[in-house]
Amino acid sequence: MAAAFELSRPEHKGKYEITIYQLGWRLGGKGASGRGPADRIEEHGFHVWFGFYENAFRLIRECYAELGRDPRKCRIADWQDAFSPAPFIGLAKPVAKDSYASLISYFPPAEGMPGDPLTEDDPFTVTSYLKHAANALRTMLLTAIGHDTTDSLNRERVDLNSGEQTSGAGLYGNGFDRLSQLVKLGILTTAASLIEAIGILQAILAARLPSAAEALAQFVEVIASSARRQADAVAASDPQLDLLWQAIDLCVTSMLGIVRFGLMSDPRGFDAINEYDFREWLKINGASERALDSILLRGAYDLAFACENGDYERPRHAAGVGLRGAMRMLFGYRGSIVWKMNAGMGDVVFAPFYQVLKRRGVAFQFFHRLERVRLADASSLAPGERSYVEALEFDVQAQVVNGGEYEPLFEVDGLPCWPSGPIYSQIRDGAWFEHEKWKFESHWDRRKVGTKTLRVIEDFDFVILGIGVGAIPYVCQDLIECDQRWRDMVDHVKSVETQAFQIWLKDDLEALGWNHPPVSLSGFVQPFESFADMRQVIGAENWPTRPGAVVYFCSTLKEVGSLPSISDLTYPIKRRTEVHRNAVRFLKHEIQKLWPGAVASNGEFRWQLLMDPAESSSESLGESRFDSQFWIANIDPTERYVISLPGSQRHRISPLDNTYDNLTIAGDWTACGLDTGCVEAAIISGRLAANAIARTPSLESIVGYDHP
Amino acid sequence: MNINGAPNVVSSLMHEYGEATHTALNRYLPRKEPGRFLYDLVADYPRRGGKMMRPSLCIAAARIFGAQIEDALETAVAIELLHNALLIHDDIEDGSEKRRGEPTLHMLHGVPLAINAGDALTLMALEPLLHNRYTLGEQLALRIIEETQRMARACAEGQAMELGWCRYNVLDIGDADYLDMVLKKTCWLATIYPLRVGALIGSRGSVDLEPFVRFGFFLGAAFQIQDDLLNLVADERYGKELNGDLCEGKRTLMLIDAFRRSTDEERDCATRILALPRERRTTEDVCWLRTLIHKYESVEYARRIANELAGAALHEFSLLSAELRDSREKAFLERMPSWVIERQ
Amino acid sequence: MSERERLHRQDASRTGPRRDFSFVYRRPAENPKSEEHTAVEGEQPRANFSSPTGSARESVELAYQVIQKHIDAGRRAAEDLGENLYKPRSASDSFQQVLEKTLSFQAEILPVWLEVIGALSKGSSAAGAFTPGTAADQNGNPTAYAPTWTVEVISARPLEVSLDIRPHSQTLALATPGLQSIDNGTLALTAIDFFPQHNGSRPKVRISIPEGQASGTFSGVVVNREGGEVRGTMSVRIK
Repeated sequence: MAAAFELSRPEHKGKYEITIYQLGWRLGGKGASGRGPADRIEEHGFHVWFGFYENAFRLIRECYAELGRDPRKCRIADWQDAFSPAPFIGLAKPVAKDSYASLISYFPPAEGMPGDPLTEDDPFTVTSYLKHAANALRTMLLTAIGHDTTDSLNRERVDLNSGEQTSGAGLYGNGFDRLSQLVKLGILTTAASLIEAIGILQAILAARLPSAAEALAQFVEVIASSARRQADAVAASDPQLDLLWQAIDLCVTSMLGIVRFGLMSDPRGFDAINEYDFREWLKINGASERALDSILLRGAYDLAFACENGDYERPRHAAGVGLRGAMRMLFGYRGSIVWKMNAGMGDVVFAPFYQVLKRRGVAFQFFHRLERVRLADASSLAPGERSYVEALEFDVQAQVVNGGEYEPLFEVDGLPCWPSGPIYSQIRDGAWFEHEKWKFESHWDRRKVGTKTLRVIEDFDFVILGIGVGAIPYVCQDLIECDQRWRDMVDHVKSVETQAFQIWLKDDLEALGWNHPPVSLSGFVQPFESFADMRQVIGAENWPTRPGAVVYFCSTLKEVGSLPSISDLTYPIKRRTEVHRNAVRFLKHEIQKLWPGAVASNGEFRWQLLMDPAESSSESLGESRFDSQFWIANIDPTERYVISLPGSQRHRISPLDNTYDNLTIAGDWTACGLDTGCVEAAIISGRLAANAIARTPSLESIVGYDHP
Repeated sequence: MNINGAPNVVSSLMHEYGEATHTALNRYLPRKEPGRFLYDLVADYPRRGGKMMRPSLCIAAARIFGAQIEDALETAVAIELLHNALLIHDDIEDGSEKRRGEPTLHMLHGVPLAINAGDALTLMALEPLLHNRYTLGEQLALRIIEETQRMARACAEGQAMELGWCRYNVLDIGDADYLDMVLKKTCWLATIYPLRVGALIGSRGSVDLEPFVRFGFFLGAAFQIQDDLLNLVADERYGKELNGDLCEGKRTLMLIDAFRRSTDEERDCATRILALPRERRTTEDVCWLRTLIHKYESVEYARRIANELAGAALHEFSLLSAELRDSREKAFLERMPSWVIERQ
Repeated sequence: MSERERLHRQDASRTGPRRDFSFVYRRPAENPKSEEHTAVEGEQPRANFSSPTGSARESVELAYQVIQKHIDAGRRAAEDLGENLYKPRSASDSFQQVLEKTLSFQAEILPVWLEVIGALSKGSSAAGAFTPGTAADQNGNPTAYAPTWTVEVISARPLEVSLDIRPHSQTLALATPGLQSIDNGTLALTAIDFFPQHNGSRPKVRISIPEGQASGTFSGVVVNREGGEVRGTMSVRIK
C-alpha cells in the first residue's frame, strides 16, 4: 500500500500505471480486518501502532487529509478520530502460585505527534535517547514517591501524609510507606549511579593498556556485585521496587553493553550484535539473574512474538534488533507511546488507503492469487544483462459479475468497512461460492475459476512483490533455485503462526475486578499471554445491547514439526479447533487470575458473560457459548508473523537490491532498516520499494531508515 | 609590580606543592595485603620522591586563576599516580636498570609483578578523580576525566611511535616527527595535561585551554630534550644510568641529528648497532655512537633547539597570562622555561 | 507482441541504511569549549636564551607547525565528527585504530552519560567551591565551601561514620528515617539527631548506638523534615 501510495502521488503526474493484485476480497494481509454479526470487528490479532512509527503515521495522516471525509457523515474523518493515545502498558507478574499482580505503567506523552515534520531536534540521535532514558528513569522514581510527573523540573515536596494516588499514577498503588520508599530509593539510586559511573570509567581505562583492563575489570566487578547485592536485598523485600530495580539494571546493562561492544563507533550500529540473542547479550554484559528473568524482558519478547517455531519455551530475539526496537519504542515516541485504533485496522487504515488510491487511478484486481513469479530463462539473457521477471502467473479465484470492478467496502454507520467474507452478490455464481464455502484466503483451498498470466513489456514493466515471507517458497521457486541469497533468506528469515480470540462481555471489566485504565498487557500465562482492552471499538459496532467490554487475546501458535503439506486439508481445521480449545481452557482456568469477578462462586467461568450476536435464538449455556465468539488460527503462509532470530538479519534482502532489474520486494520481512515484524517496517519497506523504482522518496526522507 | 622574586621561586614552590601532593597521595596508597606482592610495590616509586614538577604545574595553573590548593590537590595526586604508573611501564619497556638512584621496580621484583603494580597504580588514579565530583561538581569532574583520557591516548600514541621506531629500527626520523612523538609521549602527561586541568579547575571551565597546549608543548619539549642531554653528558649524580639512553637505543634529538648528517658508511654502522638487542650491544658500540654524536656537534644542536623552545614557551606564557594578576604562581610558571633548561 | 524496450530499474545509490554515527550522533547542546584560534602562526618567538642561528630558528618554526597541526586535529575531531573519526578505515584494524575510535567515542559520549548519572543520583550535584568567574581574595580565603559538620558519637564500640550532605543544608531541620543494614533482620539505627547551624555554631549530628546493637554497615538517606526532600546520605559502620 505504501509503495502504491508513493508511486501514485500527483507529483509523478501519472507516470506510473499501478495495478494491485490481491488474494481474496480484502486488502491488508495480516492487518486485514472484517465485520461479522452485529458488525463486530474481527481481526487477525490485536494491532497497535507505536508512537515511533513516523513513516506509518505520516502516510496515514496524508491519506486522511487527501481523503477529506465529511465528519458529519462519518465518525472517522480525521486521523485523530482513527487513532487514540493509549499510554498505559501493563505487565502481569506472578506473585505466587496461581496469583498475579498487574503492574500498570503510565508513559507520559512526548512532544509533538508522530508523523509531524522533524525539527532540528532530531529524536533519533543517541543524545536524545539518553536524555529520554534519564527522564524516564527519573519519572519512574519521582512517580514512586508521589511527585507530579508532569512537573519534573521543580522538585516539589513529598506529601508524607497523603496516601492518595496521583492521577494516572505510575507503578505504585495506594497505601505504602513513602518514607521507607525514600530510604530504599536513596540506596538504589546511589547504587545505580555508582555502577554506571564505574562502568563507564571501566570502559575508558580498558582502552589504555590491555593488562590494566583486566585488573580494573576485576576491581569493578567486586564493587558492582557488592552494590548489586545490597540493592537486591533491599528490593527483594518489596516486589514493586524490585521491578524498578530490574528496569534500572536492564537500562544500565544496555548502556554498558553499548560501550563495551563499541556500538557507537561501529559502522554497523546495533546490527553488530545481531548474532546474539537479546537476553544472552544482556547476560554477557552482567545483567543480574533477576533482571534477566524479569517480566520486563519477557514482555518485550512476547510483544514481538519472538520465539522459535512459535514455541514460547524457546524465546529468541536478535539483540541488535531488540535493542534498537526498545530504544525507539521507549524513547523515540511522539505523542503517546502506543496508539490504539478506534475501529478495525482494515477500516481505519486499509479502507482509506484503498479509497485514496482508487481516486488517484490505481486499479485493483481482487480474487487473484499469485502462483508463480517466473524469471527469464538464463540462456535468453544478453551478455551483461541482468536477470528479470518475465511473467507473473495468477489463479483467478472469482470473477465479477458483468466483468465490472469489485467494490469491496460496505458501510457501517457511514464508515466504509471490509466485510468478513466476499460480497457474494458481486461475484458471478456468488451463491454457489457461498454454498461451497470457498475459503479464498486459505492456502489449502486452491480452487479457481481460471488463470491469468501477465507478461513483461506487454502487461507490466516493474513488479513490486508484497506478499508475506511465508509464501515466498511457494511462489518464487525460480528465484530460490537460481539465487543462493533467496535460498538463504527463506531458510533463515523465519515466521511463526499465531492464534487469537476476541470476546464481547456484558459486564465491564471493573465489574469483573479489573480496576485499571484501558491497557495492553503482556507477560501473562501462555498461551494468550497478551491481551488488549479494546473498549474504544465498541462504538463502531452495532450490538443491540451495548457490550460492557471487548477484549482481544493473542499469542504465537506452536508448530508441530515441519511445514504442513498443501494437500493436508485437515490442517486448517485441526488448528482452528486447537485454538478454540486453547481459548476455552484459558477462560476456564486462567483469566480469573486477572479478573477475579469473571468466575462464579464454584470457580467456573461465567460463560453467560459472553455476548452472542444471535441472542434471540435459544440461549446456549456453559462452554458452548464461546462458539459465538471470534477466534482465528493465522496459519496461512501469507499470514505468518515474521520474527527476528539472532543471525537472521543478514539474510534479509533489501527492496533496493537490484539483482532482478524489474523486481523489487516490500514487506516487514525485507531488509528495511527496522528488520522486525511491524507496521512501520512494512511501510518503510514500501517506501523503499517506491524509491527502488522512482528514486523517490529519497532515502534520507524515510524517517529513521538511517539509524544506528 | 612584578613579584619575580628570588631565583628559587621554582624550587620552593615545587617543594611546597610536592609535599602537599605527597601527603595527599599517601591517603590513596593503602597499607594492606598483599604487601609483598602489590601494595609495597605500588608505593615504591612514589616514595622515592622526585621533583613533583607535574603536580606543581597543575596546582600552580589552578591558583593563577584564584583557586585554592585543595581544589586541585586530588587531581595533582592523580597526575602523580599516573606518572609513576607510566614510569614503571616505561622502565620495563626500555629495559632500564635504575630509577632515581635505586634499581627499577622490575629489577627488584621481576617483570610480571611490576606490570601488575603499574596497572594497579593506573586504576588507583581513578579514585581521586572520582572525588572531584564532590569538590568541583559533576561538570568539571567529568571534563577533567575527558582531559585525562585524551592525555592517555596521546601518551599511548607517543609511546607507540617511539617503541615502533626501536622495534623496526627506524633511524631517519625528521625533526617534525620527533617533535610529534615528544609532544604525545612526554608533553601531554608532563606539562600540557597538568596545565590544562589546572586551568580548568581554577577558571571553573571558562578559560580557553588552547594556549596551554602550546605553552605546555614548548615547555615539555625543552624539558625532554634537556633530559636527554643530561643523560648523555651528566655524571652519576643524576640518578639514571649514564649513557642509559644510548644503551637502550632511544631516539633522542642528538641521535637522529647525528644520523641525519652521517655518511652512508656511518649510517650502516649505526643501523647495525641499533639493530642488535640491547644485551648484545657492547660498550664499544655505545662509545662509537657517542663519538658520532660529538663529531656532528649534535649536542650543541639539541641544546640550541631546547633553548629556542624554552623561549617559545616563555612567549606563549606571556600571551596567555597577560590579563592575570601577579602572584607567586604566575612567577613560578614564568620561570619554568628557564628552569627546565638550566637544571642539572 | 510489443516493440517496446524492456524497462530497467536504476541501481540505487546504496542498498542499506547508514548506521555509522556520523549521521545520527550529535554532540550535547552545551559545549563548554569555545576554542578560539589565537595562535600567532609563524611569529618569531623572543629569544632570551641564546642568539639564534639560522637552523635553530627554523626548528622553532617547525615546532610551531607541529603544535598547530596537533591543535587543529584536535579541534577538527571535536567539531567535525563525521569525516575524521567515524569513517570506517580501509586500513587493517590495528590496535591503535581501535584504541582511537573507542577513546574518541568515550570523549564524546561521556558527558552525556555522566549527565544521566547526575540526573539519577539527585543528591550529588554539588554547587562547587566558587561562584564562577571570581577569584579568591588576596589571602586565598574561599567563598562558601562545603560546611563542616560536627559528629557526636555515643557508643561503646568503634565506629566509622560517613556523611554526605548537600551544600546549603546546614540550616535545615534534617532527619533520617533510620539507617538500615543490608542484612534483613538487623535492627536499624534510629537514634540519630541533627542540629542545624545557629548562632555561629556548626551544624551537628549525634549518633547513639544502643547496647547490644549488632555490627555491620548501616546506611540511609537524610531528608529535610519540611517537605521530605532528600538532602544527602549517611552511613555508619559498627565494628
